[in-house]
Amino acid sequence: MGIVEKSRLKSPWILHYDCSSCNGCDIEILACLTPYYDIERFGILSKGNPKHSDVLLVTGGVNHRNKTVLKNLYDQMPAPKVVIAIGACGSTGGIFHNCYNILGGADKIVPVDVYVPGCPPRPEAIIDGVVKALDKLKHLQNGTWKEPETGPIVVETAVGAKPAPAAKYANAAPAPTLNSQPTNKEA
Amino acid sequence: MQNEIQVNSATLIGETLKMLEAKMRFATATCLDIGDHFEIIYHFDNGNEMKHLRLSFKDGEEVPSIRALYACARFIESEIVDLFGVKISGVSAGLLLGSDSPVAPMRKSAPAKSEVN
Amino acid sequence: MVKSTITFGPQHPVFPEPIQFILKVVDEKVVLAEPQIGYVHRGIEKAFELNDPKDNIFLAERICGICPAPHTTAYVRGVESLMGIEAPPRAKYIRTIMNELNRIHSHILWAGLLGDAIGFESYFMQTWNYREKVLDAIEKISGHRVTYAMNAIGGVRRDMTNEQLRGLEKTMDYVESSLENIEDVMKDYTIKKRTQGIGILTEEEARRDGAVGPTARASGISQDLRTSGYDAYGDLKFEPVVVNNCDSYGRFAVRWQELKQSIDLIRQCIVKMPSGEILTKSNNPMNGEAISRVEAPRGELFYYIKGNGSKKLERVKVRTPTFANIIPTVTMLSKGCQVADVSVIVLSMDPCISCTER
Repeated sequence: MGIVEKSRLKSPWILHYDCSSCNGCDIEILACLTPYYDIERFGILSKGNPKHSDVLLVTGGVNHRNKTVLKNLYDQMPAPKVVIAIGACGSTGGIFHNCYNILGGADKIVPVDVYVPGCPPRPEAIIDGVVKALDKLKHLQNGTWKEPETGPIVVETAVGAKPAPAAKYANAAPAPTLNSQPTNKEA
Repeated sequence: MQNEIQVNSATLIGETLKMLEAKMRFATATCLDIGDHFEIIYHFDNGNEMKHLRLSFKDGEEVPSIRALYACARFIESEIVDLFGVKISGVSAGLLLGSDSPVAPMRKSAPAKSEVN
Repeated sequence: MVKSTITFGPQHPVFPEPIQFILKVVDEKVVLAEPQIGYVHRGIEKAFELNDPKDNIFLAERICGICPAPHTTAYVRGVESLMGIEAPPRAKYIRTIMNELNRIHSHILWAGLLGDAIGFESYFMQTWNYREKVLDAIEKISGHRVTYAMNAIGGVRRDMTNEQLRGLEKTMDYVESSLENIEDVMKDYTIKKRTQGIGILTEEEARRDGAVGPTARASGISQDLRTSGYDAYGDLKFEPVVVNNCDSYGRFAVRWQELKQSIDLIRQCIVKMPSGEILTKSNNPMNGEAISRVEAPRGELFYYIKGNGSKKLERVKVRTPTFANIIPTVTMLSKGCQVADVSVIVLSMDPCISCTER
């Protein structure tokens, strides 16, 4: 592995773009960068310049005005690159599915490699998504990538509702999942 | 609603001027699509109570802009023109919607999204 | 003198969200700023008409992921007044606690982002660390860090146990002790140099442009909807924080004092918390028009709700604080600030674009 390949994997730079998200996912991405979750221990830095970036984080569903911005950013990023759709809206359009200006998830415009569902996903899930994407990046630059038979890569921490964080807080409600739109049964 | 005054295109500016003289803050304006006509409710606030001006007009009728009196009306009126496709003099669309977005989507007659896709 | 145009955004490292400012610049001086929005417009007001009113609570929450508590509070209060019901006292106190917790986390978040815009990244990191403790407290109460879905039509969905209230007291002690560090930063020469006299908005301009929230209160306007006494605020003792600096530093000072105020309000709520029911159930039809206003962290949040007696609402109009504060920001920017100060000035009004465009 040469210095270029090694640097790309050991210190991938991320670009974050907010396509009509509610801000919830965006502040969780920023929370990942802070010492509490510390995504920098994987060498990951958030950069504003798409030409410096290897990983694109997209939050929120794509709308009619920002679809060209998203496409531009994606095209400006040098290959190999991976795209991570953060949150229910980034994956499918989520709760905004019936809003007139929403086209759907980020995959309507750019190819998405990893989906991180949740509304918003916990920072742990976002970190997990980035780490899974790095694995794909490694295979992409080695030219050994094969699409998994199980379908696209989806981070399971949010969907599977693993008991670990919930048990810590006995009164906690189950995390929202990708498949169940929130209902108001309790009210 | 309480403290509501009915206005028409001719009396809107005069009534707004009274609000300005009473040092009311222009909070926002709400546009309503009531089938055969439209309404714009202008909400004013002075810290203690709110006052409202209700302007009724027919579709296609051009109503005056209050931008000259309240500078903050600029975006509020642009948004109404954008989302309802009504005519306010001197205000053009294009604040929120992109060129491919549906036209006047907030009208009751606009198709819901499921019908578009 | 060459006049050039600089486009600032929509994707810019300083802003977490897309907004574009088209700046007309002479040398380093900005002479005209033109905001361009619409990059995150979704069409939520229409979706409010299509969904069930109960489901709309979750939609209102997702107008803004930073301030879900004020949004849902404004929405449910509006629907309650259409139905002619009122939330029980305990529910009102729980709503107040959630709103104030929301304000604390939002103001700390803002303080961090300001540090980031100024170029003080360690401060950004540290303040967000304090904020995590507030989010933990919110999670212990509601089960989620960001979107808590505590409000329901007629009250709240979850009660708070005594254990949770005691835990909340501890969190407040922690946040209070961490505020000293924010105060330290406020006294620093560099921070003063970057914020004092930058982004001037006089009282007259603030009134003319309809500024709300901390932006208005930093210009000497005593405008705080909490004094109208909605929810539990009528029972609590507090004075709106007003300063006369009229600049970015003043807006920093207002938010810093509001952090202390919010901590005090939560402590008062914990002491005065009444017992009893948390939900008033009702199937009354939603008829008529209602205006519901709530003081969100960024200022006055305005909901206009119209029902026609059917199962769905006829119209929901949302005017968020940032929407009202955009024109004042243009006024601040167009006074000949330097290009390097644009990010500080825009951040000083605490922009929340996803609210603005809905």
